[in-house]
Amino acid sequence: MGAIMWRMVKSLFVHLPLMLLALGAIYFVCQGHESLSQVIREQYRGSSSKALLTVLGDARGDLMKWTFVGFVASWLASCLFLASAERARPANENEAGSKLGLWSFLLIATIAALAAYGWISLTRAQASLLPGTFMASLLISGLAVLAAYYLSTALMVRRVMRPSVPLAAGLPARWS
Amino acid sequence: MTDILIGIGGTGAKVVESALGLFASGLGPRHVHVGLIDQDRANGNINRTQTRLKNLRRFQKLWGGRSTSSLDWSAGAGRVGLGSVQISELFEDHALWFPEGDEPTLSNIIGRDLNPQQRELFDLLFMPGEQEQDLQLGEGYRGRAHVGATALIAAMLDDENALIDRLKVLMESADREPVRIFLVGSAFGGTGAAGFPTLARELHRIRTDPEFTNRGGVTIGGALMLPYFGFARPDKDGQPVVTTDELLPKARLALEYYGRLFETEETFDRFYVMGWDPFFNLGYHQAGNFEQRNPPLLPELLAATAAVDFLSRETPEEPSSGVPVMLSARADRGIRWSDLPLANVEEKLGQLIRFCTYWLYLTEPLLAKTSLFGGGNWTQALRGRMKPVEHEQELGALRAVARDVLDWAAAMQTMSRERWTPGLWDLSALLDRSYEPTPTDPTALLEAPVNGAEAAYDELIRAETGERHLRGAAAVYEALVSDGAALAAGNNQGYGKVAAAAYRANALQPERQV
Repeated sequence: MGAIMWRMVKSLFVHLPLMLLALGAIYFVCQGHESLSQVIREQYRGSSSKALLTVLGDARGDLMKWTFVGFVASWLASCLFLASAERARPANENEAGSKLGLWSFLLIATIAALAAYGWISLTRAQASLLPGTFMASLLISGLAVLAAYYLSTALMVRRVMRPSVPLAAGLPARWS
Repeated sequence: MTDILIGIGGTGAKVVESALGLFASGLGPRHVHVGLIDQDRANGNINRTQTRLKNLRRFQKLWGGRSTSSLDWSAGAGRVGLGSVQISELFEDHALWFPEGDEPTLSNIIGRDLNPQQRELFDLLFMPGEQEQDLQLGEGYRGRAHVGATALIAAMLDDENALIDRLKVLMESADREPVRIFLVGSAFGGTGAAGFPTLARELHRIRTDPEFTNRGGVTIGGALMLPYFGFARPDKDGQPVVTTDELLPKARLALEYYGRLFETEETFDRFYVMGWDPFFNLGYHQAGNFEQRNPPLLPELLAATAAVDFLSRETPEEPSSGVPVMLSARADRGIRWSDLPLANVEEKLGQLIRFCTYWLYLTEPLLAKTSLFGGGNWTQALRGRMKPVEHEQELGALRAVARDVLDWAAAMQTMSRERWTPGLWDLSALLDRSYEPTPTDPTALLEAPVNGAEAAYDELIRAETGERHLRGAAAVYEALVSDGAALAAGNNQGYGKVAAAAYRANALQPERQV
């Protein structure tokens, strides 16, 4: 149990910096009035700058919340995978790759969760921000979440179970 | 230190065969000269032991020293147990000494140019014709120990005696270093029963000769095999062969002889006696030649532990009032590791058998595989880009030794039948079920790759309770993937790293890494 908990903590250490990086990138991308969509700018023409900043802050907040939820989902998925891999006792390379299905399923589940939550929670942000800004933010967050899932599983999984994570064999094994 | 092991006769050769298994596991001294004595050059037991001896020698030659694939057999911390007891054949390129030339008979050896009185004595002592005087000794002595003893003594008194010459050279060590000689033979056959005491007394005479330079430096040990197996009756009545009902009276006579011998001279510094009841039934009989190829039997392994015990003793024997005789008896019909009277035998022999299985069935199939990204295959991580085809000689030599060990172990298990309870190992899942067993070759191993080899491996070594050993294929695989480099530590090169890591990973208990 101790080993599983420790791997979960190590997975958290992979997720945290990537999440901070993603949040910082979103903050940077959604910084000025020019990030807001033409419709919003027209709508708030003549209003105070503070009102525009409020709209921008709400959109940015939605994106950040979505990013945070994505990282939590990814961390939970990686914990599930790491716990499952920790309990496996492979006796050969084929058995060592036996968790690849679970790894793929959890990856897809994380993507699906991100998409579903985005569908629900990002309507306002999509309407408020320029399409390019919105898509760039989505891309940055999505990629960061996927990178966190991949790196946390590839680097932290038990060494003997690395064949269950695609291409993990080529990565350094010092943390596994 | 010079250590010499000599198997006399077919049974002696079979004990040497078991001793080779123990030596291959790292049990024993640093270096042993191994010799075999038999009249019957074509004897199947002798041939099989010679083949296994040559295979082990070849492995040590190819994997030792300057090869691109080598194992660390130095005295340091990186030493790998596998094959670490260096074996030499007693003679430069062979181990077998046979006393007489082609088609010898007693008449040819000592029955020529006799005066009338000598002729009468000869006729009085030996039965005429093919029963004794003209018995073809080229097929062994066939239970006529007195015929064999006479022939062997005659050969040993011969000035042109390569065996005694060679042993004298080894005994008269230039540095006056200690020499240990261990002889093993049966009390119930022909060659062994005749040669065992004859050779021992001759060696004792040499070491006590006032002109012998290494006086006090030579110790002699012996293991006498009492009857432990029986034959089916021979096909033709009257053929001069040993049968089961003759064995015990012969053994009794032999023990009386040794009892008297020990009262008059201390030929042996340490003496081991081994028997078994009830007998192992071989179910067939061949008087000699190639077909006398009895499968390995459990008592031979116990006798081999005596050889290792004697050759591993660090301190010289304390002077005593008589010859220390080692006797071991047990009432339990089954066999377990604790029945083998040798320290570390479970740990070392168990590790060897596990390694041989793991190498043949789970490691060799990986050697040809390479991965673009590395790391996935533990052998690749250790051997780099080496290709098996370029090192086939070395790998073939290791394969031959591994197969020899497993063939020996599987045959011993099969021949033990109900005695194998709980047993020492279980190779039954790796036996070829389609093979038709013969009395001389009761088993055949499956060729790799084998589906379910990991499960078979898990059942391999039996713990004292009869349960399988806890450290199974999964633990070994994890150790190799996770700690392969540490397990390969030492001066091992190329495939030697793979073999060293696999050998250490196959320890019954995790080996402390160097």
